[in-house]
Amino acid sequence: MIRWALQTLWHGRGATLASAGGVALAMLLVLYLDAVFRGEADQVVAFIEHAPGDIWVLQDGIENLHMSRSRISDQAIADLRQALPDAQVLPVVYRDVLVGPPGDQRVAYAVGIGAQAGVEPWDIGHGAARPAPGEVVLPRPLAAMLGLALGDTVRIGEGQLRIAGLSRGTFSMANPLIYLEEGDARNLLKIGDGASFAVVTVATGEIDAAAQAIAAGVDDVEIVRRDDLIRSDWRLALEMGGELIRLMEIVGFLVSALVVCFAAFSFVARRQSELAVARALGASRKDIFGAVLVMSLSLALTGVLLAGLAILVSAPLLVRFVPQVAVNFSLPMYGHVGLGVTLIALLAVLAPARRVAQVDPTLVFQA
Amino acid sequence: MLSNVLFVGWHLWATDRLQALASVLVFAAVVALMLFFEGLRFGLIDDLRQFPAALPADLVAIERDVGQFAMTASKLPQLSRSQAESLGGVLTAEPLALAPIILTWADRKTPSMILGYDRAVFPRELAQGRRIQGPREVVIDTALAIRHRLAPGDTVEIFDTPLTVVGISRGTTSPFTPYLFLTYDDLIDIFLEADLSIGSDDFSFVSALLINLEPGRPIPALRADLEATMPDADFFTPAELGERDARYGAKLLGPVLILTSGIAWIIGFLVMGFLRYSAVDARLREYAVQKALGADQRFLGGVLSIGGLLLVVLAFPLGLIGSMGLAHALHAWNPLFSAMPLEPRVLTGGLVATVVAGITGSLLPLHRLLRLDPTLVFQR
Repeated sequence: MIRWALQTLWHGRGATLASAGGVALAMLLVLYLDAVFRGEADQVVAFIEHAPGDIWVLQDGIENLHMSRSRISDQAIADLRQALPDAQVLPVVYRDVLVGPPGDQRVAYAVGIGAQAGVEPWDIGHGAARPAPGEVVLPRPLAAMLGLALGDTVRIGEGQLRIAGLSRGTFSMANPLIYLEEGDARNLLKIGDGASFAVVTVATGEIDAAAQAIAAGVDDVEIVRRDDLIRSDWRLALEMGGELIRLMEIVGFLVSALVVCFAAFSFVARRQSELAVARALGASRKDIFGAVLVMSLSLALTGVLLAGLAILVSAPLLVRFVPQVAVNFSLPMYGHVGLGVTLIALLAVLAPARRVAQVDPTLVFQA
Repeated sequence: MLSNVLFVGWHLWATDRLQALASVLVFAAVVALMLFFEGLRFGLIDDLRQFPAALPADLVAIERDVGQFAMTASKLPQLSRSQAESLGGVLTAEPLALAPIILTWADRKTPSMILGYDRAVFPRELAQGRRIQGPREVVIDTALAIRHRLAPGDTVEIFDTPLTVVGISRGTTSPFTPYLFLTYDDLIDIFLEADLSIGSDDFSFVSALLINLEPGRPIPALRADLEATMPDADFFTPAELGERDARYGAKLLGPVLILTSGIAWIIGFLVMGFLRYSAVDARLREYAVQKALGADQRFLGGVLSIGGLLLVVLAFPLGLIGSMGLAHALHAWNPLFSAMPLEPRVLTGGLVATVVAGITGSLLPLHRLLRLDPTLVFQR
């Protein structure tokens, strides 16, 4: 019976491929939406993840970096250094700013790079990673969207800076990161003194003690541990738009499950009469179920394979032609969705298989 | 001829009722998905347009070159109000202060926009309660009220200052900046008490001016006068400003929305086409019987197309109902977002895609059907 099942699939190659194509497309819908969700959400916290530091000291009442404006004073930074003489304290100038010519501006987050290392772009595609005065490092997709290249001049806030570098992995719809020399950043972002926040690095195992020392020695600041800040920004990103993409993903999954169910069900249901003949000719219930499951499994696995191939082909095309959307295809997600699709396909054919298995073999020859 | 095509098309399509019903349901689900995703794209952009487009003014002044009302911070000089009001033909120039905050209440965080106003009537529409009449009162947007479980009479804290919610506003939801309304005095007090940096040179307590003209004064002429008098500002009618916010939102969100919606369209179209093709292909012999009985290409094409169209006619309304259900579910789940599946462009696109997918999927096997040897139909 298994041989018969495989022959049936081969004999009806057109219908087999069409049904497997339906399965693959349904799977692709979920995987694409997940990749968009993952790409955007991951990118929101990319700056924090790549920056050093165990504790982030922000303005009192500010618990997020994303969509917030924090400002701490010079006094707070001095108090911080005094409270933690052995720790590394990195004041950072960071704020949202408009990038591009009037009428075609985009919001980006500007990072001021000073003498201390720590917050430079982590992956440079072209040019310099540390901008000199009068220079800026832009994410490559942002430069492309503005029609600019290395060496061109771009308007940042009210200033004009030369593009000295193009970074990778620093762009998302909600959180593009641009890098300026600290003096330029202070000037353009109008942060004359103090900083936006300070990043504190302490010795392993001393985070709790350091947080207590900051709380005791520095006024009007919010002490946020790195993991908490990542969680807080991630959550905000989710509430802002990530939840929406997640909901789209759930709706996509439900519709996809229905499509897979239908593709597998109808493929097998259309062969009920042939299965009934096989039953009449002596095939056992086990044989019938085996044949049906092999057909369904083959359809599902072909669909999973086709979806994988489609992603391999389309992922580089998406990066090239839609650079403004951060997409991040996940192999574990591919595995989970593939498994889910296979299980759904197997479950979907149980009903027609049961119907055939229960048929009285003699009925096939009646009428 | 036509009645024969219709009869045979219907008969062949509906022979297996369970299969036909299942295919209608799946097509409807795919249609619902496509309309919902596309409706979401239109809904988000429309929400961005609504509030600025309904500002109670003839002209709105914002910082030069900023170009948007809500999406980017505008700063006007503190003296801009008196500058505007000194111009002949200007009846009133009402300052507005816009301050973005992250409203953190009832274990939820929502980036929001505080709108501080002086004498203007805000908000325009109330869903519940009343407008502000005294100090330390706030009116909040419906979506914020739902998300943060707030009702008139409740207290909410903004920068540690307790405020009494006295009203819930309507038409003030924006996906990224739902509005809260405070009086100008309260806004300044709260921000000064909280010792926030917005009092520094990167923040102005005049974000925009609502300019109302004396009755009968032509807007274009006065706009030119205002531009000459106040070179730091740009002037837009509320409708223009709404359109600019919508355009900016479309530019900002467009790529991701177009990508997700485009994926849904392409995949939905292909799924419908594939499934229809697979259904026709699997029953090619039944269609081939017609050929064996003398049916020509036109007849067979008609029969196949009728099957596809029947599917569309039954599935599309169901899909539309499904997409409206999804839009309601979305709004109930997160009132900041709304989908517009009934928007004519969404409906037209959805209908065209469904019809084309249904008919193309039906006609693809026609070539094979025409090449089939009629005698083979009667074998096995």
